[in-house]
Amino acid sequence: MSMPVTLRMALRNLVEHRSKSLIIGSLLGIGVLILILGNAFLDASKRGIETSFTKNYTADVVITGKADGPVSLFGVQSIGGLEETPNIPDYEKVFSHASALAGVQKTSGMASGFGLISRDVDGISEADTGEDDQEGMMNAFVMLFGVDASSYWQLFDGLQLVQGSLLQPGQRGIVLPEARLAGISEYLQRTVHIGDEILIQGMGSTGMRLRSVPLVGTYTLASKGAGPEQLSYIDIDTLRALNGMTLGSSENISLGEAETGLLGLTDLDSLFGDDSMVMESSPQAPQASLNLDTLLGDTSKREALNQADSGAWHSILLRMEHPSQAPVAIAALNAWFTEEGIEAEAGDWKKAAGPYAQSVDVLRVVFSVAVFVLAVVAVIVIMNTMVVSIIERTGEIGTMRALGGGRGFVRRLFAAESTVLAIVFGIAGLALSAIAILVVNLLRIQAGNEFFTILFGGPVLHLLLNPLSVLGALVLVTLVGLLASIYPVAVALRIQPIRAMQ
Amino acid sequence: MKRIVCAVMAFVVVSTAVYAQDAKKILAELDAVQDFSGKDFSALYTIVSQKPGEKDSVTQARMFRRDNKDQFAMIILLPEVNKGQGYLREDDKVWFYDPTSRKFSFSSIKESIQDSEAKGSDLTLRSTADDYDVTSVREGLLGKVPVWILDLKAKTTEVPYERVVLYVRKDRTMLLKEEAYSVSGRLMRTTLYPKYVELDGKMLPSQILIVDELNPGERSQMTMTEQSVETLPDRVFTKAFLEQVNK
Repeated sequence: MSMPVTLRMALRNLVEHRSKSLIIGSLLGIGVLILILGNAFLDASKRGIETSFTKNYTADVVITGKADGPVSLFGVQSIGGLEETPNIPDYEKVFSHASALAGVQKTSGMASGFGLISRDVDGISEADTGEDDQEGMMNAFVMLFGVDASSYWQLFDGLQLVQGSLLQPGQRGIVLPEARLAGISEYLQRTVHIGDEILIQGMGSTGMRLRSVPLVGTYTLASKGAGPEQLSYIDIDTLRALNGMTLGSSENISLGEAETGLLGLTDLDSLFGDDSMVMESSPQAPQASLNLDTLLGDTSKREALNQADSGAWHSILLRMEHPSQAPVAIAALNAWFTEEGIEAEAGDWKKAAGPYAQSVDVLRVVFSVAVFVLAVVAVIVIMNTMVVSIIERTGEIGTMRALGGGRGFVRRLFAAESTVLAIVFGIAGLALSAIAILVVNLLRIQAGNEFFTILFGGPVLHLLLNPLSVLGALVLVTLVGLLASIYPVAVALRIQPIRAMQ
Repeated sequence: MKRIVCAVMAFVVVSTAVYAQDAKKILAELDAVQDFSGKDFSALYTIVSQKPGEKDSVTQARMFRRDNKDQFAMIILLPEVNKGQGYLREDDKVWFYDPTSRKFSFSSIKESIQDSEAKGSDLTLRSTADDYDVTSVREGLLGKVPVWILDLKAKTTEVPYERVVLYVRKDRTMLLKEEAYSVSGRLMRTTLYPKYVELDGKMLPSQILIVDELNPGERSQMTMTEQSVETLPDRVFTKAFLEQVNK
């Protein structure tokens, strides 16, 4: 057995200073435990969050049109207002190119908007139109995903149907979240059943629209907190009508000076510069000529303008064969858009989820910072303890030097000691972490509320031992041990051996 | 000296009282302009809204009022895509009719009229005298027109603005300009009434310019024509009428 002399001495010293070794070793082990468990937890939440979004409604890759602010499935995030969600230009071309991309398994187009479920019958009592309306309106609010039923459901097979059925291709109708049904029933003052017509008021770019569609089914989101609880699925053509995604969205109206003359004025007081401007007593068109039955005149233009624009889509969702293929597909798509001059952009689930992914990210960042702070504290405690323990051995260092031990020998010896400590106790910490993870998984810790559901990435906390983080923790702890020994050893070596021995 | 101070103070008090008296009267007269109790009223409204970087949005609507019964009906004429949409108010109930789906729904009177600067309250009856207290009255000039400048403070929280300054023509009670301020004292909206018509012995504004002071460049012009106080048939204020005009 030819163990290097430094290593043999190091081992002997560690055994000699048993209690000291145990204390420092335990600290190193705890450091490893914290790092590994913290990482496992962050990994679990990252993986869980990603899965809960991609399985629920974002898919792996999203393509949208471009706007001033970031575009998600929930529209454009813009300062101070609601910018209109852009349509994807050259939709057919983009769709077929994206579908043919390597690794793309399934593709579906969609559009989104907002709506208010509306009362359509008389007889709402006085009490219901007062202050309570605020809450009622909240019940009535729906976030609408206009979907192409022939392909959409294949991307999201995890959707849990509670009542009725999903939308069939070509079918008019809406699928509501089961949890909202009671509130909607309360607002409408009638119990809503599958098959009942539901009146929805849309607020699109061209104004208000009313559409009535049957309730075809209700569903629950596989994981709460990943999206809006008002998320409802409606057939794409009804959504287009509600949203004003119609041929009439770019109508040109020209009016005369009488109706627009004031808009361009800069000096507003000049309106009152001349006394005579104030009065205008010329007789107006006589009322008698007004025929109430022909108020509107020709309405044929309206029918044409209100036709749903079948080429109007807000986004295309792609399901990859494996989620890890998403970044490559996104890069390829964006390069192709630039090349072809198409005003569209591809992104991952975070882009698709927009504000919802951001709130989840904030939560994750806060937690990562907490884990990081804990790790820093552990490192400082370990360093401090090691510094003190080596300073205590100044006499021993002096004796070694007096007996002819060189500076290099002393340094190597202490380095060997701390490395051995770090490895032995690091592995012990690793074993403890593995047991802790096993226990946590066996305990099946329930999230309980939405906050923890997001943080856990699902209803139950499930941790995984990541080999990379294990290696990282061991390397980090060894480095900490070495670093912590360099300074006190250097101090001890600066002292004359004879003084040090005293 | 003391006597002089007293006299001056007495004068100030008295003159303010006189002004306040006048202000009350002015407010009552202004309110009366809006009041068509006992008569029907109808007019054609055109609202053009301007926002920087956007196409002007146009809404034209024919409005019918019967204030005695709190009835109100409105039919949209422009844009073409919304032609025939109707609003009907009876007491507190407001119906909205969409001719493209032939459906009715409830909607709130407080909602903006089709995305423009004009608010629902611009088209409905309200009493300035009931909602506001006069805090000061001054004389002044607006352009070249001599005006009373009335500073009003809200009595209730029901009104959209905390403080309103009115510029009222002196020789004939006509509101020419209105400045609306927020609780924090910020100028929110300026409204100008440069043109009037005389109808049934009343002065009615025929052009209104609404300037959004918070968002530079956002303005709306309202133009009212074909004002009339002729009696309207009862059927105008029914849901059936909103459907009929679309047939």
